[in-house]
Amino acid sequence: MVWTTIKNWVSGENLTHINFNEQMQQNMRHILEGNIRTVEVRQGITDPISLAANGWLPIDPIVQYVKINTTGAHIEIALSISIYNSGVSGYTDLDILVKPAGEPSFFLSSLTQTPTGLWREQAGSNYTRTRSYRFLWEFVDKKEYIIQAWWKANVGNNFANYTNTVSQFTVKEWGK
Amino acid sequence: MAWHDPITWVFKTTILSATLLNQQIRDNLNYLKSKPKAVAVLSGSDQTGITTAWVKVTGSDLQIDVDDTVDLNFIIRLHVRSTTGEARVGIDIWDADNNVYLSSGTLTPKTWGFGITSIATANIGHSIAFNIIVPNISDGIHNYEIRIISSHAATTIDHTNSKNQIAVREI
Repeated sequence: MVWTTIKNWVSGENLTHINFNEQMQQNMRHILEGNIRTVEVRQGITDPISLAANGWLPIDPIVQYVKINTTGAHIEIALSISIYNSGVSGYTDLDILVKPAGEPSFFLSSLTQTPTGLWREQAGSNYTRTRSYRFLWEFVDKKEYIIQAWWKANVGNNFANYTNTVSQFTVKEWGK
Repeated sequence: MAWHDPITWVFKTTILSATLLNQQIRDNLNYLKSKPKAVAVLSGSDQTGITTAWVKVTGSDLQIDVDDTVDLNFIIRLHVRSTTGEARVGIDIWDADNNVYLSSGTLTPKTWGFGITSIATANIGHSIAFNIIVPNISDGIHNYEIRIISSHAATTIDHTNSKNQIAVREI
């Protein structure tokens, strides 16, 4: 349900059903329902690969992103994912790309188009590790955003283990 | 924005006024929309010299002003490494208003606070990530900081390669 900026009522104002529906019906439904977008990866998708030689890439450009209309509050971004490395042990850097509608995209780690890594995870050779990452992004402008999980392997091939585990990517609006 | 108890609107009795609408609709919507409150801190320079005594994580001061009695959810994530080899690292929350560790409720924390991670190899980073709920926090301003301990003095919080964050929110 769309959020409408809360109005200040003044004496002598002409009360309309439009105002009441926007201010009470729709805004209360917005608060009741919460503003949350989630994508889950369970089955039927090939494990994505991150090659060290390829640098930063979306983990899965087709499914692992959400689109959300924010209202000016804080938002929490959560990524749960299992990662393993097929060769020698190395680490994986993870980041979040934000694409505001009509504006240049940026990574949350640097607030620029050059990622520096929001999270780093050591991946042993052929050992799968599941991690849940969270990041509270404060004072987010009211806007439509596409928010996407990216990664980079530092050596060899990294895999996200979609085959044997569930991966989840969630963006949820909080208060401030 | 203060909360006003929702009134019962009475036919031909309640006099509709701007004051009433602002209290019942504007103020109460603002109050509900601002929930749950949340605060996040951290990142910065690497913090070296984490020792075998509890020490404050630099920049981990958390101040949150809560309304009514709420539960608080602490979300802690730090990337740590040891320059020399094996180390065990513990994390606790210090209640700066009551001068107690939340793991024990006293001046003496549990040995590893809320939890422990083990670093097996030198210069290999590991995440410490905790999601902790502290119930029944009273109305008002509360101040916390995060404290850390290591079994090995050559332990570092790695900010350079990881944007560490500590957050607290109402639930």
